[in-house]
Formats: sequence, structure tokens, C-alpha cells
Amino acid sequence: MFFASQEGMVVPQCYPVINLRSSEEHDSCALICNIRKGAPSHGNIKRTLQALEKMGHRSGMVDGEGDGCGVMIDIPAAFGRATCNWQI
Amino acid sequence: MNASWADSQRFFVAHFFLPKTEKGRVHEWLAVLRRQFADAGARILLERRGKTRSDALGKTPERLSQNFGKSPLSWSNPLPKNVMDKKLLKLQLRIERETPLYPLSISRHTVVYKVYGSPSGIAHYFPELSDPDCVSRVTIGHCRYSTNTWSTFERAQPFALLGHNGEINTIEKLRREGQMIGVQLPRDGSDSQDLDRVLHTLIVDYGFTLAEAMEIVFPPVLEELKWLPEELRMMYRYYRAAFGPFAQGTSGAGDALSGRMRLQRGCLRLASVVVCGDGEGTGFYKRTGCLAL
Repeated sequence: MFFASQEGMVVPQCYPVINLRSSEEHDSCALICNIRKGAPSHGNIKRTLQALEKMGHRSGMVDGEGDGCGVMIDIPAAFGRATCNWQI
Repeated sequence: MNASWADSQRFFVAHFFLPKTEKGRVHEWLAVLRRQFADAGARILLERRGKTRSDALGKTPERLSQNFGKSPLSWSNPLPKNVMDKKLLKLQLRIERETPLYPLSISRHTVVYKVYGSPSGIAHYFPELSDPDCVSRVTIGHCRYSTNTWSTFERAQPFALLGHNGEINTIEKLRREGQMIGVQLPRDGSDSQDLDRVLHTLIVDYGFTLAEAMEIVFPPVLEELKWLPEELRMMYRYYRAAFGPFAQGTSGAGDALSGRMRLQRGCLRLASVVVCGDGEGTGFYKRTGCLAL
């Protein structure tokens, strides 16, 4: 049994508290797309990862574990070349 | 391998996960994989075990049950783009059918990184995402909140084409319609996974563009049709009758086949799109409409 935490409402200490207002935001996936016009950048990926982290409450998070998340990026050819792993 | 391969039109990258339950048969499955690539006419330029940090995924043991592998490849002979894309999808389907490997992405344009864990752990799990040389023009990010299917690694998003925010309550009907047009659905797929595969098949096997395939799968609701010109009204009525409005939700799809991005309409579900120019300010859009770039 859960009690909503609202102003003026007395919530027994023995029950877990869920804030109704924030629970409205817990009901669907998070989707973000970052587009950079012009040259590709690492900031683009970084900003997307930061956004996902901020929307962690939309990932079915329980005890620090979510339902899964991921990113789709352009093939980072420069990364492949720079790390030399793709060059023989 | 010559570095210029990475800029070649024939170049593509495959990302895989191999369940740890198959750990003892890694070499056997890799041999199968090599044969499948060779049969398709693809040349493996390099095989690499992707770097991952398993401590980033939480406490549940099932979350750690994957090995990540990546391979840059190239077609041995020059091929038209649509033939290459058709072969890539066929290859992906064959790998799914014949091996326990899970292909995250096999594409000429994009790569997918995903975890069955929290969003704060993804950059830690894949250290290469934090490398300054890892750059991108378009990045689609997704956090899954599972609704009508159980939570598993394979169902984490994005998939080969899209990230989807929606709950498809007509999931069975979408699957049946998909199978009727010859779609090979993923094993134990979620509604979004099936949607991704249906779109992929419509594009690759039926020759639709991403925009056209999206319009077929997500036709406008009847109320919206009233405001459209007669010609479009007829077209959408045909789509609704022929395939059916069995997908709902908002989708951000990176068109792995043409290198474009599209955000499709979707009920009341939201998606965030950030567009920024070279040296310009950042624009932030949050909309339920349709954005073609």
C-alpha cells in the first residue's frame, strides 16, 4: 500500500512514499535525438548520454537497474583510424 | 588493412553480443559467422572483441551474460547500394536464425551500443563512447520502460533502425500483418522490435524509403485525414486498409540505409530532438509531430 506525498497530508512513516507528481513522468520510454549540422562531434554523443542519464526515471529504474538503454551513432571511422585497431 | 577502407562505400560495421552461456563454443560460433560472411560475399577486415566493463551493469547476474564483439567488414566486390543493404539484412536474419549471436547492428552508416542496465552505466560499460575520437552527426538515445513485454537484453533499444517510445497494444495483429508480407520477426521480440523489423523489411525488400515505410506503418488517425487533400486522403485510406494502423507511439529512426534521420508522429508520446549547427546556438524541440531532416 502506498501513500502519496502531498502538501498537508500526513504520511505514516512505515509506508514507502511516492510523489504523485513525479510518478506521472514514469510511464514511458525516453527518446532523444541529437543532430549536429556540419562536422560530426564527440559532444553530440556526450550530450545524448547526459540526456539519457537525466531521463533515467523513464527507464524502469529499480535499485539502480533499468530496463535497458542504448545509443545509435554514425560509424566512428575517425575513432577506428585513430586507435589503429582497424589498421593492419 | 588500409585506413581508407573506413571511408569506402563498401565498408560496413557489425556489432554483436554472444551470450555467456555459449562461452565454451565461442570459436565454433565465430567460425560459423566467418562462413556466413564469406557466403554473402563480405570480407572481414578485422575481428575485435569490444572493450566492456561489466561492473557497470548492476547486481543482477543476467545483465552480465553477454560478450561484445565488433568487426569492420567490406564487400569483396563493388555493389549497388540497395543490393548491399538487402544483403546486410539477409545476413542479419541468417545470423539470428542459425546462431545464438545477437546482432546489435550491421550497417554501412550506423552502429548501436546498448546495455541491459541503467543509462548512467552505458558510457562506463562501453569505454569507447567516451573517447574524443568517437564522433557523430546524429545520435539517437533511448531508455526502455518495458510495458507489454518482459525486460530482457535483446529488447533494449535502439534497434537496427529506430528507437521507439510507445506501447503497441495491437502487437499480435502487427506481427501477423508483418508475417503476411514475409517479415522474419526476431526471436521473442518486443512490440518495438517487431516494428523495427517490419520497417526494415519494407525498406529493403519492398524498396520504400524510410519516410514512406513510416507512413505505411503509422498512417495518420482518421481525424487527421479530414484535413488532407483528397489525393493524400485516398492514399492513407489505402494504407490503413492494406496494412492497417497497428503501430502506435513515437519513433526516432536513423535511416541506416540513406544516412538520414526521421522522427515520426506518435499519439501523445514525446521525444526530444536537439539540432545544433556548426558554431550556432542550440535549438531544442519537443514535439509530437513529424520531422524529416
